[in-house]
Amino acid sequence: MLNKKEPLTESYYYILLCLYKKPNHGYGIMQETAELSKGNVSIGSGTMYGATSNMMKKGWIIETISTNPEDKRKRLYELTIEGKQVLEDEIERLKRLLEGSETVLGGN
Amino acid sequence: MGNLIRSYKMYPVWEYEEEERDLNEASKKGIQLVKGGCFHSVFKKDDSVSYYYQLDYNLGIKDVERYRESFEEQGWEYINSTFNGWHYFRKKKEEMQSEDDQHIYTDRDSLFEMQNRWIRLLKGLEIFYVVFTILYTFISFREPGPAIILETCIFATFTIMFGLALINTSRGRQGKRKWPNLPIQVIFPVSIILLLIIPFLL
Repeated sequence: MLNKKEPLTESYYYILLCLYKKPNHGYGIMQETAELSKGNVSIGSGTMYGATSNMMKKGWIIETISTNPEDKRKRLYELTIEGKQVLEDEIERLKRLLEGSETVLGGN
Repeated sequence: MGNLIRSYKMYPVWEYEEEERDLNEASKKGIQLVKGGCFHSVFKKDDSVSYYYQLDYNLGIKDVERYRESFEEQGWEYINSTFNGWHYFRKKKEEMQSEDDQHIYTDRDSLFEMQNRWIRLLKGLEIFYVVFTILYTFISFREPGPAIILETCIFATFTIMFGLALINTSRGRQGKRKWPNLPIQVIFPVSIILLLIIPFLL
């Protein structure tokens, strides 16, 4: 684990988020990210490869092979327990940020 | 194979974006890159199509298949790789939907990460040139001679050239205007020729 937790980049955050419910392939992650962010975040191929490589090195995600015969793309990424924890911690951090903001903005 | 065009234009690592720009301009005119290289590139005449080109730097990829898949699934056609870690990709212009489709790096962190991989090498070389420039300057003063002075000048030129490249890369990242770079396309061959003919001149 990281000693000092740094905020995730938007790309890292969305990749983890798109893997939260089920394993997915790179293309699926890219499309879901575009939907979830309403087109504000796009993950290009270089960014996707770099991010998935780094996250595999950190043990946040692993590579699995799809057993579904209808799946054209066999290579899938799956969230590990550690990766899930990283995402949940980040969501907590973001919530605290928003709560703090509400206190200031909603206070007048 | 009469419609193949060869180009011997060299691009230093810090001008990889210029190379992309030149490839895109050539593609508009119907000259399509089919093999990219450090010292020579091959183009093919085909004005029925227009491509958008991107270069990636990644030396020592362990899972080449996963790497290529990451690009192909987003419509990037893999062209080739160079021995020193550059990979060429292209996408048909008609397949592009948005501005983001043109870039393989879509956030600053991942772009800087890619650039940092070659910046580290440049910094290593810069240290080497600085050390040798100082060493040769010292020797030049103690035992002056045409050969040693010329060699010192060559080391000094490389120090300035790589130093400027590093400064400009950093200025580019900060959105500042870049200073002019020294043309490695001229300096590199001239230095080699000079170093080779020095022994015959003396």
